[in-house]
Amino acid sequence: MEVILEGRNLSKWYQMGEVRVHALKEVDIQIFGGEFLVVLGPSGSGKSTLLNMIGGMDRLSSGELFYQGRPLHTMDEKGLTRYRREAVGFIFQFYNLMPNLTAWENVHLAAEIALDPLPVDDVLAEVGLADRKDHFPSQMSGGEQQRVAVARAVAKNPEILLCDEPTGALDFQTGIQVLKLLRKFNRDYRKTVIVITHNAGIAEMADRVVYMKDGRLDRWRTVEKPLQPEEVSW
Amino acid sequence: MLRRKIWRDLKENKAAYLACLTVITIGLMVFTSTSMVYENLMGAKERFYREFRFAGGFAQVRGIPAQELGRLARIEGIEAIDGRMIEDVRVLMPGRKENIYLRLVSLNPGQVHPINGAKLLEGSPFSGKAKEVWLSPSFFAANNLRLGDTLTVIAAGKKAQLTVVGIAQSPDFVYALRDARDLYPAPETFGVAYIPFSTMKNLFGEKALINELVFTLKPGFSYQAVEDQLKPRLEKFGLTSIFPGKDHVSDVILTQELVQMESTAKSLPVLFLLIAAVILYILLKRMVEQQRGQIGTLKAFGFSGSEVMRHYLSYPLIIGIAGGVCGGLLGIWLSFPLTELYRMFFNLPGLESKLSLKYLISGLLLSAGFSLFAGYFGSREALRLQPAEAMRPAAPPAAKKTLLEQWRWYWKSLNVQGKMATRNLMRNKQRSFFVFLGITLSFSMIATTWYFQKISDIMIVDQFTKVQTHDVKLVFKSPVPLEGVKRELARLPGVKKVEPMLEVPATLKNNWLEKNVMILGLQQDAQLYNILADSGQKLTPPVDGLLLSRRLAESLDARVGTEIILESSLFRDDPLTLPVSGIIPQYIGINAYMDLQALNRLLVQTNLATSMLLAADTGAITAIKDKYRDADLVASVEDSSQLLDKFYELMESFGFMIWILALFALIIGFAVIYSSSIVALSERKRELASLRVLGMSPGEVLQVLTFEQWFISFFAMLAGIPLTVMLNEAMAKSMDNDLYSLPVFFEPFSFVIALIGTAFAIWVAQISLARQIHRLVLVEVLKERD
Repeated sequence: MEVILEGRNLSKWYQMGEVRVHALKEVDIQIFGGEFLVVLGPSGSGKSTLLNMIGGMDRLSSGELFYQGRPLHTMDEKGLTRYRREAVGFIFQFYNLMPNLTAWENVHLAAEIALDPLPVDDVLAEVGLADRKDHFPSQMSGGEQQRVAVARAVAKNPEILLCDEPTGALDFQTGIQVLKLLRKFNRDYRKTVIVITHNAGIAEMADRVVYMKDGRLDRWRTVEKPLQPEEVSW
Repeated sequence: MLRRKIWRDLKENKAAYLACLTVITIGLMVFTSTSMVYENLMGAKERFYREFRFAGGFAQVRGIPAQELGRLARIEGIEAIDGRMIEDVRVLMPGRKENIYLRLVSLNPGQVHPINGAKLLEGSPFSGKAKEVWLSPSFFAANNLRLGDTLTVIAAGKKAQLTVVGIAQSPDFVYALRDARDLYPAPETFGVAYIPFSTMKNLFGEKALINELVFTLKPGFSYQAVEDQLKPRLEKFGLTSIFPGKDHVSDVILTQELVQMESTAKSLPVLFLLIAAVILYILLKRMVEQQRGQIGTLKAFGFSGSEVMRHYLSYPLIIGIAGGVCGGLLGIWLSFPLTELYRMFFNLPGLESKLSLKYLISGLLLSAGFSLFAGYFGSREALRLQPAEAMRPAAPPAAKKTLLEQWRWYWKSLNVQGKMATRNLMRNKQRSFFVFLGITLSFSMIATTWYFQKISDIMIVDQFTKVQTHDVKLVFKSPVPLEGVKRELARLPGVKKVEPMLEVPATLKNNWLEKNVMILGLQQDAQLYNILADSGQKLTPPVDGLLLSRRLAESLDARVGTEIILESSLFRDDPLTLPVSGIIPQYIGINAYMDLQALNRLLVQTNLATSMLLAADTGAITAIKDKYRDADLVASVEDSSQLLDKFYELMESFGFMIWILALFALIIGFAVIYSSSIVALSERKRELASLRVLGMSPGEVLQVLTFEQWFISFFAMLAGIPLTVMLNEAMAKSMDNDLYSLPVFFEPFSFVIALIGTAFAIWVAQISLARQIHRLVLVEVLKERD
């Protein structure tokens, strides 16, 4: 498999008054196209910071990061916006839907700015919300909202899907449904899915697992036989 | 501790509070300064009118012997009556080309407490030796004169030297106009000279006669009752006009100014305070929503509801007081130059600015009151919350489809930003309405300001280019034989055309309504003075009827066909009746019009003219002026281009007022958009950051907010058009008087200017919004749960 994202010596620190807080310390990472990667670690381990860097939402303090050979660490704001727009789909723990757009419109919003979007109705049908497409977020359950969020990310047809605790706010059954969708996107469309979580159970469905600790990449392992989402438990 | 929280909260939103503070400051500055200037002007007027006995009535006659006065004084209702001679003379000043006139007003130096008495401001009383005068202060100053200087005047066709021994002012020349049609005083070329009657005799010999009577009324008597008795007795002395003191030009304009100032002091500040109150309301409401958790914590700690309320009310109170103090102090400061400005136009002895804290304090109370009121309504909702309820996050904003979505073609044409914006503006109806209101006001203020600037311009320029198309007007002291004079003038080199004009003072009556006006007699084929209909089409003066100016027709309640009774001692048959044959617009002065020959036939003597209108080559005008301005028969020679120049000069000095008002309007527009943007941004930070993460550029995210603002502003500006027309009509009506009436018509250009101005204010506010969207830290915003 080819390397789609490569990070060398990724570091990020925040100045808080007189104290410098290191959130990410000299991380080297390679992410392959089409893999299902789970980044695991307790809170404060730096996994969200890593996701922010990979997603082009924040800037590195030092280090180099390449997406398909193109340097993200030297890109200006415009370049990063384009990167987010064309290459990345985000899924958040708290969905972050636009409250005053319906499910369909939320997905359409993302599709509208993408280069090669998937048909909105198809994506909504795939997440099982074809009959709820005219509902507003406030009229939907958490699971439904997260499915809209998945649809929104997928509809852009991005190379990478970045998921920050996608099941964190959901009950077990609903969480499994969302994982199924992620797996489907990964396998059917051959896109890279990166899930960040502190839920070790999810790791078993990944191709690879990266363990973060104290801002460092502690270790990684390849999963010999990834489980089906429905076989996962926590 | 809570006090620290206040300062930090204020600091965090400093720009929005600052915008609000600015609006309050402007409002209170206007309030304090206009109130103070009003008080200065009103106080000075009342004192001066009382001490120097401004007349309750004026009557102008051709000449009346002094011994008649005693008899007239016995008329019931008259408290006192004085007679004086008033005569305009030309002043010769070396090196000055324009016509300079002095109005000689006779007085009796020995008389105690005369009516319209002259207050000696500087200099000495009359010694009785030389030909001494007291000059009005504005003429004295404008011509750089000194006490002891002599002025050369032409009196009764002869040169005479007058020595200036004092500066004096009487209440009837506070606003000194040579002619009511002048509109603005021109102190360099016109002034008043007070002169003992004995000196008048010296100058004019036998022609020195009392030609104006001034009288005061006994308490409880109406002017009308006195006029009814006085009028028939004055007919034989050649009564030309009789009117109450309140119709005297100087008083009309002074009163007009006071009325306008009073309404400005009352309305404009309230408008600004209302806008500020709404901004405070919105800011507070948002802050309380944002600080739900903090309110819950405070209450859980044991702070009482009223303590929390007091805490939140301190924000508007601080802004209200700060705005009140700033505005009040600026207003006091501004009242000094403003009073000075009024001193340029109104010669009111004792008109000066006095430091007064009265309006600072009342303004402070007003602004604190408005702010507290707004703050209370902004914060009361969440303060009712129980602590546990307050600590739970607020329910997510509910959303549903809006009415606008039924408009399929509109809805389909929108991108998603447009759809979000449309829904949002319908969901935040209160705030949308506020933005709507603010932009409407801002737009209308600019349009109205521009309109009035433009309209006075058009009014005067039209008067000189379309109505009075002559180059020179010769005004005679008394009527002259038409043909002879016309022939003589036509023979002058450079004169292209001569047209006679006859002005007859008369009282026009319809039932119980009456009005004293000049009837203008014009030739059928007159080209140097045009009577124009509403459409701009030229009308010929009627032979068997009267054309009335619209304001005259309105004040007589006359329509086409109404029979008007005309009274004048100059008529052969007095009174006589004529029908109204038409009504025309007339913006400067009020007149009735008739055919020259027909009007002549009504007079005792016929074939007369009172003025000659001339069209002449530019080069010849000076020669004509030089030849005739000192002629015995000629009262004045008016040069149209000189009058027009003077007007332009004046307009320039007034220009800055327009800019200040426009600036105020821009500040309103900016403050409204800016404060609503700040609130929208804080409310929807998370939403906007999500859009950024989705891959939208800051510009695209900005569109969500700006689309909403432009959408509302578009309709607000549309609504501003009828509002402007209404404002223009109301203002024109309030400014209407016998001297001028302001036309109201649709002036598209003023709306273009208003559009540009308002759009500019919105755009500036959006620049800072764009900057804040650029600064959104995506990671931070998305981390927190609302």
